[in-house]
Amino acid sequence: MDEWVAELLRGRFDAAWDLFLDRYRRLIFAAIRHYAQDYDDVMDVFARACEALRADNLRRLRSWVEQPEHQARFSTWLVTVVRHLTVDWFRHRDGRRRLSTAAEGLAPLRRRIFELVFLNKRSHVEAYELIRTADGLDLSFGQFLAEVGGTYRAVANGRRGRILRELGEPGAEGHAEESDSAVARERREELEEALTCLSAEERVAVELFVVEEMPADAVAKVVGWPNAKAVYNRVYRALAVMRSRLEETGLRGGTR
Amino acid sequence: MLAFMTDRERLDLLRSDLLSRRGRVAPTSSCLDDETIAALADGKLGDPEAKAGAMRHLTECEVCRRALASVAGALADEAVRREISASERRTRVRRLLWIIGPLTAAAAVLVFIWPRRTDDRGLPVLRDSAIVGGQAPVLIAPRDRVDRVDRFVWSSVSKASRYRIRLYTDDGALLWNSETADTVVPAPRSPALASGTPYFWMVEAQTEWQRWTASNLVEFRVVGERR
Repeated sequence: MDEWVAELLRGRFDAAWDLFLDRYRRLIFAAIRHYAQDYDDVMDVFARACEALRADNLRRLRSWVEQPEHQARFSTWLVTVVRHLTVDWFRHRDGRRRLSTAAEGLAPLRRRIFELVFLNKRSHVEAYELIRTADGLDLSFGQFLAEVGGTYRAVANGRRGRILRELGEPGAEGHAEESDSAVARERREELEEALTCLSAEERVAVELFVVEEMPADAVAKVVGWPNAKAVYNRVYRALAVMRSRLEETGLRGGTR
Repeated sequence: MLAFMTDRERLDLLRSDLLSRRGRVAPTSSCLDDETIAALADGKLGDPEAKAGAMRHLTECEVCRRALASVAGALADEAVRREISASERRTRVRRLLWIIGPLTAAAAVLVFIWPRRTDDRGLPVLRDSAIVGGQAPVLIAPRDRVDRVDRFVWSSVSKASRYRIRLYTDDGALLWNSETADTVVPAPRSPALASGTPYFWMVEAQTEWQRWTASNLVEFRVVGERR
């Protein structure tokens, strides 16, 4: 049994905290630095994480220790908790106004994409249509997506790091359904219908691998498939099924 | 629009459509807790019912999918991985010492109370356990994570006439031992070292008659091919 756990079980909370912090300080810092590189931000989030973990006589740590069995490793659980606290801290501190300062150094097109996708929570399709029609820019959807990718990278590589991505991706604060175009709404319904032909595991794998861009081996762990190759095979097969289904729907509807 | 697109663009569009879908965007009471997220990220959510429930929830909940992807990203971060590895190594070493420590103490007691034996020349035989003192061997390879283990290599100790190497599993069981006059010994063909499993090894150098000096215990694990 770890020393800090022994002290915690004896009810010596201060001693348990000192031992815990001595043991996991570096991991907590590493997890925070994954999301934020700014020194002051990191120190502030660390203070907040310590405050939250130590609150109510180490309630969070006790809740872990007192469980009869654990499915996750303690270190993974701790990273999960620290991520949660970090995102909450930034979300509490940073509103829309501060978020927009991240776009200051971007090129005009990327700044416009940032504004539409990050601030106005438009989908990529909507942002593309707006840039083409309202702004009069002539670019293919592929070029547009490349610019979207560049915008994400530019934002995520900034001083505020990955946390901006956590806070600013489209959909994080909901979406005004009524502002959707009829075409976008119809397409989403078709997509939902196409997704129903997949099993829950396949659906989760598609979402995590394609949308969240998780590495294939990490997706394999989550859904319980043997390896990354199984993820490539099954996700691409699922995407092919979905795509043909969507195209069939499009042809039947005669809208595209 | 689809008719004018390349296959790659169609796939990109599908991705974009998936991105533009609105799942559940605010946490609810049915959202996965931190431990479930962590267990999924570790691939250790063993209970089939709990796993099926988590999968169902993930198909609907963008918040939990994003949290899971985010944690997986953090776990893949080199600095985070290094700290987790260091933390787990400390735990294993402590556990190993906890197992070996009492055995060593018991052995020491036996040495002092057991009747002394003599060798074939009538001289007393001293205990052959490690007596730390002077220069100790430094273990060179394998250490930490290695692709394969062909041999064990350590530094020489002045006046050492022979070395004794011991290989342990992480629960303290002796897996293999060997003696040599060299500072390198081929890895055993049997037992095979399992990929990803932690092992510990140490070397004792005989510096004088019945005097041994021991290295630190070093951990390694094979991350490449099995052997």
